[in-house]
Amino acid sequence: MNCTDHQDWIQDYLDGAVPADTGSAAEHRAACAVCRELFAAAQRLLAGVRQLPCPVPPADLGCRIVRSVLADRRRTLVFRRVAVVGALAASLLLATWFALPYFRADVPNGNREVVSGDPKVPEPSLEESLQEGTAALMAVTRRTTGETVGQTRLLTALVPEMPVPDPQGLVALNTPSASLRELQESVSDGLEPVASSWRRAVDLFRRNIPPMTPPSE
Amino acid sequence: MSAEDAALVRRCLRGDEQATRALVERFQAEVYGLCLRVLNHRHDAEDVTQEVFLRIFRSLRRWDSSRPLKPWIMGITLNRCRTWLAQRVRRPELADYLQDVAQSRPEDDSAELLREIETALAELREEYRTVFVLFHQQGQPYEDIAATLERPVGTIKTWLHRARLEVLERLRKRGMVPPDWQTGMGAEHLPGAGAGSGSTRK
Repeated sequence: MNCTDHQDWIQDYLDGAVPADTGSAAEHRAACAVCRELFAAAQRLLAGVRQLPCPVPPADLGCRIVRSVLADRRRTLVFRRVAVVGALAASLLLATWFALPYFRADVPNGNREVVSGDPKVPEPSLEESLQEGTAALMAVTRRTTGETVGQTRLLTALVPEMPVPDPQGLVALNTPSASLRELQESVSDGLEPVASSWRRAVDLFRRNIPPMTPPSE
Repeated sequence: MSAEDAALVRRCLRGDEQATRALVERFQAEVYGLCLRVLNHRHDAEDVTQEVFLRIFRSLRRWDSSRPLKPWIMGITLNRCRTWLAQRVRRPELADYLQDVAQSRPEDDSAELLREIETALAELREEYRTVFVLFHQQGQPYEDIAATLERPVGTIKTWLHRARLEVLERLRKRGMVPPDWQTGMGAEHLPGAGAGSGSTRK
């Protein structure tokens, strides 16, 4: 054994892995004063380290630690509960907000109407709706025309009779229109349309027409 | 021991207060001892010990039950100590360790020897001091220390050997060991001998 090997042996000795007087190490120390004194120093160090006091914690440190740990645990539980309730409420609000449009029924062309409370009444088809709209338009036109004619008759009754002009003194009137069709068109041109589209006409008349009672089954 | 540790941890995770107290009582002395050695300040050691256990219980679910519990706890302790050292502003005071010990003082020069060893330890680099305390004072094997510090066993042995040599060098300078053991040794007997005399890295 040389001095380097003995130094390694000293480390094993301080580890507690080898006894004090191992053969080759003891022989080397007998011959080497330096290593002999190194071994003495190592023995003193080991003795001192074994007597090193273990730091003793304060008597109340354990209680303080347990108290703080339990308080921290309670705080964590409360926080988790609040977080879970908040998340559930937020999820419910989001789900309601997204599902709200699906509670309303849509017609194919995008119009919305309130769902009928009576599930037994079938919804009218498109053709039926058109026919109803046309019939409603004709009815309102007749009524309007009738009122107009009636008022005109009243006015006409108030006008005193005028002498019939001499046909020969009359300026020649324009020749009459070529056909009855042209007459009708000229009359209808003067009339202002009720609505710009049949859809608006239907909506307009639906407001004025009393609700139709469904046929009893 | 690991089966007992695992059972204790399971009880703690279920919220058992008795298990919590048992875990604290089992490790508080070692955690406090390491904090005191690393921080060299009694009040700081108490605060850090408390903080260590808070972190232990907060992260107890992440402990791998197939590994020993003690190195995991000591690893957390060391990390907190390092963080505390990095944040500390004031100069650390050397704690009077002998007042913490409930035993009679020896009549020979052992008290002086102990004081010199403690002073030498305080002047060591932090990792050397940590390894020295974990091995010689807490009796942890190399493997546990390597797991605690997340270093190879060879590195731990090298650090411990250097720590011993630095302590021996200081004791020699203070006259606590035979003065002639370094005579004629030359550089080959003191690895890093140029930096080994009274190094104060921490």
